[in-house]
Order: sequence, then structure tokens, then C-alpha cells
Amino acid sequence: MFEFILPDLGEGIAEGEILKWYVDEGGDVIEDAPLMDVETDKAAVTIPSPRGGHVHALKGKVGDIVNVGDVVVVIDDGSGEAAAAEEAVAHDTFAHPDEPAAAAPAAEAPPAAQPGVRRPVPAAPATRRLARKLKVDINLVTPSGPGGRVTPEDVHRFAGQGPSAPAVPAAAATDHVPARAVAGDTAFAEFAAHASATIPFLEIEPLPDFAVEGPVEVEKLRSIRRKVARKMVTSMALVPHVAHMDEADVTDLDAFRRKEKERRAGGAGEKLTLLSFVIKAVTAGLKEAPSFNASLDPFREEIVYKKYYNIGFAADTGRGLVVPVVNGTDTKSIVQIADHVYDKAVRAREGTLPADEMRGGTFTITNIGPLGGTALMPTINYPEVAILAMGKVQKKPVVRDGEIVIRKMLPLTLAFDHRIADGADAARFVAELVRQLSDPNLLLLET
Amino acid sequence: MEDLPTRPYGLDDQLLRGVREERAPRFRLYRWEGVAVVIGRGGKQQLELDRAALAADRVPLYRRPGGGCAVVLDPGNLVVSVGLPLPGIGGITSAFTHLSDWFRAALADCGVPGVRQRGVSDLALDDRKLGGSCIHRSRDLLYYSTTLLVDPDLDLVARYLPHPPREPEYRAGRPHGEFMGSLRGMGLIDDRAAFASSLKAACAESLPAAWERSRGPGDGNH
Repeated sequence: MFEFILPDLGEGIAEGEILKWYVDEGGDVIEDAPLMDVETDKAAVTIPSPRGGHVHALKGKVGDIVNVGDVVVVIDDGSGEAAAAEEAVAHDTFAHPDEPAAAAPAAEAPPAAQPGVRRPVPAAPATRRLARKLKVDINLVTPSGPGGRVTPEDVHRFAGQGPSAPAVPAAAATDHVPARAVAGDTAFAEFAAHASATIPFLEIEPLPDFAVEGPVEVEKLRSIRRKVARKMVTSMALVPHVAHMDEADVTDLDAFRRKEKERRAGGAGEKLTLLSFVIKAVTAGLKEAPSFNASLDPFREEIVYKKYYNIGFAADTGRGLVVPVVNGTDTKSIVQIADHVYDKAVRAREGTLPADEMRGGTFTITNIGPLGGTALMPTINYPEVAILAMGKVQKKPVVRDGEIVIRKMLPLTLAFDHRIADGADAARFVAELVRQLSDPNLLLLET
Repeated sequence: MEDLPTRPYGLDDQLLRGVREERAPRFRLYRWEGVAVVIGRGGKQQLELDRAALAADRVPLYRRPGGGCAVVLDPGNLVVSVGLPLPGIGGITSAFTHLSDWFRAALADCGVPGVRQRGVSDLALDDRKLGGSCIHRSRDLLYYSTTLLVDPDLDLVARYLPHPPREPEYRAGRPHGEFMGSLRGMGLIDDRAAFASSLKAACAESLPAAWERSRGPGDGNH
């Protein structure tokens, strides 16, 4: 049997809608003949069959959404059951003919104790090529990436350790069931049983039929919404979050900003926002507190301190939440940062910001202020270790030199990874932020 | 009302055959003589078309290989179609970007600067749409086609196409007449024929470079 996985179609394309099957279950297919049409956000794609044989099963119907990495069709090509997983690895991305396919070492059969059905795991083409190069059966590798994807680090780790000593129980590697697949009773039971066995007290039940109670509308979880879901679940599952909150007096800074913005109307810096000052202040703070500009590798048990400062900012678009990244904020002036933020935010809303401008962030800021709200508890943008949330600037009565005065106060919440930093680190980091934002002169020294 | 019969959009078949045979990029620029509506590969007639109006006016309906929403073609449009031999079935995103850059540069060479790619696949000047693109990817071949609004009859668009089921953010709910522009209507060109001629020359000159860029390290060209 040959399990054909939907291959990578292009950067940022993670899924597509099945438009047409050219083959039927039970029928035959010829190698290279059209197999299916899939429509992505950008294009319609006619996918040819990489194998000839008897169509054993179609894993979706017209109108279904399929992910890159999903098995879409099972073809009986006469290779037998045992070769199925290796065949999928060798051919699912139309690898170049001169790339050697991985031959599974005879001694590396999957452990007999693994429960559930063995599934091809999702992974980027480059990761699959790496696995082939290292002669690793990628389907035996424990995935650590978002959505259960195998990362290059996973492959390297597996190659170093061998299948007999995975970092986590092998069942996790082979039992991964995408949430989307938890529709049939068998798959759901398998998923729930594994999850419950892994996490004590966790109980997962199918949703009730809400339509019994009243009218409902069902919408597929697609595109950015699905990516956000994966990122958030990954972050909340892997990272012990702690939050530290404070307020910054931005009265003077706001006055300065408004004056500068007016002065710069029509030129560079005309979109001088509070966010751009906060980005600069955060950058200064990260230099003093490198823990918040790091990542934790739980498998190597190493902390990776980044010596560069790429600050992401959450942008609400009509299509969902995205995080454009301003690179090198330590080398940019506040005015330059403001111009970058404005440009990237516009393109993000239009949907024209390329994926590589939303990667490589070392710290994220989310500004909910314009929409209101005094405080929020943000979720860390994994694998970063901290995120700063800005609330709404409000005039408040505060005590200064023994007197009650009205000041503009900016609520700040720092959520951080407690594996890397402690409450005292966060308190010092936020206190420095508050100090910088309360005195624009300090910030200007950073430009 | 039942779906109307569609015909395959075969105007570029010869172009694509040539690309497959010669393993070299090809493009063509042409104008539609009559009025027709073209629906995307996965387009749903009940959502995208006023079928009654199309049937009443006996407007032919075509289904193109690429994706996207329905468009109206009339003599006021220019269609530019490109076939690129590219290995595998990946690399869609980078090829799309390179071809969009190529076409916008050609427009700039012909006196229409400032056109940007907006939404998923629109060509726009400020907030007015001036064209739309689609891609069809099959093994070792990428087909890109863009329709340029030179001097179209926008009343026909309003007659045959209801508000689309999905729209780019910059459309902001605007009806066709307020959202779509035209090169002529916006005063960007005077002579349609001269413009078409110079656009063809500009496209031809720079296509090999665009092809080279599309073949370079991209996003999954296996």
C-alpha cells in the first residue's frame, strides 16, 4: 500500500479544498495521471498520482479541507502492507530523483507495544529530505513542532538517539491524531484514550449536538484561524505562563509623541504611535534582561539567548490574527520603527505581507489599547518566552509628591515562561519599561 | 435555478501545449471580442453568478483552470496569460509573487506606475482594483493569467455578478462600480491599442528574467 500525503505547494500554503477527484475508490489510477484538484488561497492545483495501482481509499470528499501533510489517498501498488510508511516518506513530496529514499533498517521495526494506527506524520519537505539523508524513518520521530509537525531538530535528535530511546514515549509519535480527524468514533476514542493516558484528569468528550437546543451555524476552521489555534494550544500546553502587571505614566511621552507626530506630518515618522516607543523601550529592556529574548529547547535542555532583537506585534486583520516582525529594533530609531510598523500593519491587513516578514521574532507585543480594556492575559508566541500586552491608556488620579494628580496611565502585562525566568526578573524588566516610558528623554537616549 | 452549462476556458491551451513541448516560458496578450463570464475552477455558480441574467442575455460561461472568483470579460479587458515550465507542483507562492512583480513592472514601463498587489491576487491602484489574477499549477507547469481592466463596461459586471462571497479587506463592502476602476476611466492611458502594444513588448522583454527568478530557491519547488 502507498499512502499519498498532500505535498508542500508553496510557502504559507498549509491547506486546500478538494475540488475534484479524478479517480474513484475501487478504481485504478495510472502513475502521473491527474489524481485530484485542490484549491488554495492562491491557486488551483491539479495533483498527479505519484503511483499507479488500485485506489484503496480516498481520504476526503469534494469540499473537504485537507492539510499539507495529510494522507489524501491510499493506493494499492502491489508493494504490500509493510512498505507503506517508507513509500509515503519517499514519494510524498515529489522528491528529486537523485535524492536517495530512506531504507528502513531491518532492526528498526516500530515497537510492538505502540497502540493505535501508525500514521505518516506531517513535516516540511526539507525535514523529510533531512530524514532521508540521515536514514531516519520520519514516521517514528516524535514531533515537537506546531500541529504535531516533525522539525529538523526532532530528526537530528532521533538520529542521535535511535528509535529505542525517544525523548518522550514513542506512542506520542505514532498516535498523533489531528483534532480535525476526531469525527469518527474510532478515531475519537483512540485520540481521547491516548490524551487521557498522557495527562492525568484530562477528560475529552465529543461535543454535544447543539442543534438540538437551537439554530446553529457551522463553519470550518480554516487558514489563519487554524494556525492561531495550533500556536495557542502549543504555547499553553508547553509553556508554564506567569503574568506580571504594572502601569506606566505616559503623560509626558504622549505629549511628546503628539507634538512630534504633528511636526512630522507628511514625512517620515508621521505615524508615530505609542507602540513604536514601547518597542524601543522593550528592546532596551531585553538587552538588560536576556532571558526574555531567549528560547528554551526542552529536548536539549538548553536556553538559547538571541543576540538580535526582532520584535513582533500582533495585528488584527480581517482574516485573523497575524504577527508582523520588525527586525533589528536595536539598530533602528523610534521613527524608523514607527514607519516599519505602519507599513507592515497595512500590508498585513491587505494580506500582502509575505510570510518571511512574520517570522524570526524574538519577543512579541500585543496592543489591545485602541479597542479598550484595562488589562489582558496574553499567550506567549512560542517558541519565544515572553509577550507584553498593552492596555488602553486612560487618565487616572494618581499620587505624585503627596498630591493627587491626573495622569495618563498605560496598563502593561508581561506574560513569561516560568521555566526561564522568575517573578523577580519580570518585576525588574517591567519596572525598567515603566521607567523608560515615563520619561521620553530616557527613550531618546536609546535612538 | 439550476447551474448553467459551462465550457472549459481553452483559449490558452495552445500556449500551454507549447510550454510543455519546448520547456520554455511563453506568454500571450489578447482582448476578448464579445462578452463572456469566466468562473474559477472551484467557483460555485449559485454564489457568484446571476444565472438568470446570464441565461436571459445568452452570455457564454466558461470555467478556467485557475482558482478565484468569477469575472466578466468584454472588449474592454486585456488578458495576459503566462505558462512557465517549473518542476514539481510546489513553488506557487514565490512564482505568484515573481509574476505579479513582472507584470506590475511592465505596467510601470508603459506609464502605469504604482500598481500594487492587494488582497490575495488583485492588482490595484490605491483602493481601486485594476485587475485580477489566477494560477493553475500542474506537474512541471505553472499557468498564470491576469485580466486587466482597461476600459470595461462595469455595468455588465454589476448585472452578471452579485457581490462576491469573499472579498479582500480593502474592498470594504464596496459595490463593483465603486471598487473596480479602469486604466482609461482613471486617465492612465489614452490609446488602448498603443498601450496594448507597448505592454506586450514590455512583458516579452522581461519574462525570461521573471522565469529565472521563479526557478530560483523558493518555497517548495521540489
